[in-house]
Amino acid sequence: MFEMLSYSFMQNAFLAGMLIAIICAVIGCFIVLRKMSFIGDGLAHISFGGVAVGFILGIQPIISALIISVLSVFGIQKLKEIKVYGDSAIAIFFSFGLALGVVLISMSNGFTVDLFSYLFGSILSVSAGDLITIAVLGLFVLSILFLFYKEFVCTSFDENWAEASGMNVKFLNYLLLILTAITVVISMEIAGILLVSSLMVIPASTALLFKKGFKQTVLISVIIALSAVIIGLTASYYFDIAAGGAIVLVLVAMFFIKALLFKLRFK
Amino acid sequence: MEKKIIELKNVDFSFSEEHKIIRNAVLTINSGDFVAIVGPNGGGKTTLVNLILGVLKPDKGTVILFGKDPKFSDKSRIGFVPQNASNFDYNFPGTVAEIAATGLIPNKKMFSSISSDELRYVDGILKSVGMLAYKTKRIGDLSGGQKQRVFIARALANNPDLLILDEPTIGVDASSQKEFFSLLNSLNKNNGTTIVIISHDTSTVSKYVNKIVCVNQDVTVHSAETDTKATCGFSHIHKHIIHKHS
Repeated sequence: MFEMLSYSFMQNAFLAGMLIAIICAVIGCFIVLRKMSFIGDGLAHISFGGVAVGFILGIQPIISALIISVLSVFGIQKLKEIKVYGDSAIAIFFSFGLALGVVLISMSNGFTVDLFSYLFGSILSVSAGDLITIAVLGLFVLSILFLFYKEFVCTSFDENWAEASGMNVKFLNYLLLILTAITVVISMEIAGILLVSSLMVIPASTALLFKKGFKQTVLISVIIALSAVIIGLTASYYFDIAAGGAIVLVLVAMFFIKALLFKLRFK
Repeated sequence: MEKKIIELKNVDFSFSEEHKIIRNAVLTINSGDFVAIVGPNGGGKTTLVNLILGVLKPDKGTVILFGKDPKFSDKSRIGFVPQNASNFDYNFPGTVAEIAATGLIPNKKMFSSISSDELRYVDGILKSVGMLAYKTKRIGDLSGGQKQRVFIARALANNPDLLILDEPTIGVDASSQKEFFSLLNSLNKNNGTTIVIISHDTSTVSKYVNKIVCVNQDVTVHSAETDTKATCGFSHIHKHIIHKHS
């Protein structure tokens, strides 16, 4: 077990994975409770276009993905304001990001392999520089979530009441989506664009099955996500399997075990 | 405290040009009033409350809440129980204590947290609505009447001067309704809380209120004690008011 930690690439992978696990697990609780599980997947696919733009323009893909994702958040919200259904608005931008990425790939000659590492994740190649970027942006997201924690709880439970009580619900909704976009972008390298939303949705959905209060649910979600990263990375090292996929498979297994126990309990 | 809590002066509101919801509404609600807003479905009752709360802006006329435009008035002085409070997602992982304590949040500055003294105060409110014994239970595990009490506790957590309840007794059984109105009556009489309640249950509300506001596009105000001709489009309101004073 400890042998793998003697390698710096594994140390980086564990640090990055655990930080991402905490952020995704916390923000995932708010996303799942607002019945917006699809937004993580949507923003991840939008980021795909952003990553491709980065490769074409020769800038850091994480920066271009961040810009495109945050702009898409505004686009999605604006479409909702003109009465386009929320899931349709996400699907439109989802398609845009994916299509943009595919078109840019078709125009390129050399970056297809690099782009695939974003699609499927490459946690084992996280560099010290990546780790700093993830840590800085991750701590920013966690700080804002902590600052607005009580407001996010209110709006997640009862938006009408929050608005009537004087809270700026529109601002809070934008803020949560921007934080989600940042989380998706910094998680891309770990789980890959195709699996990133699972880090947000599955720990929170599993934690909800424990039927506890809000704070306990967030804590359980974090513990589940951390456990999955540790087990998945360890399995990846010893069985030479894809780390992102291994982490997500562990999460899915945890969910179904808990769901089965939950069903047996209430049978 | 100001005498006039709510004032509407010649307020018009519509969602579209063809369909005017509120027409030339004139209304004054004073401190200590216990007011029922009644009227048929689609008559504009909830719209009226949303105008008062500043969630909607009038097309014409003025709404004044605590002496100011509702957008700039002190919302922490209001306790609000929204419509269909019993129909929320009860898979939400909130305990009774957590949900009731969210009522403190509109009063909070960005960096401040809820103190243990405030949590004790919320416990006191839960006790007054008969829900302290359930404080660690999840909101989804409660009956309709119990949930409604928790929402009242949330609305009271800020010690509001004005309590607004939008059809709070839907899905609540008859015995729970009676206790619920006794609680509101006690808040109005003993604490001086101004109460505005939207209700279809005109027979029950007319026993407690001093003012009835009829909303059916037009907004008309009737004294529950003297005006026995308030029909609001419901013939039975008339009968209940007569019954109350006969």
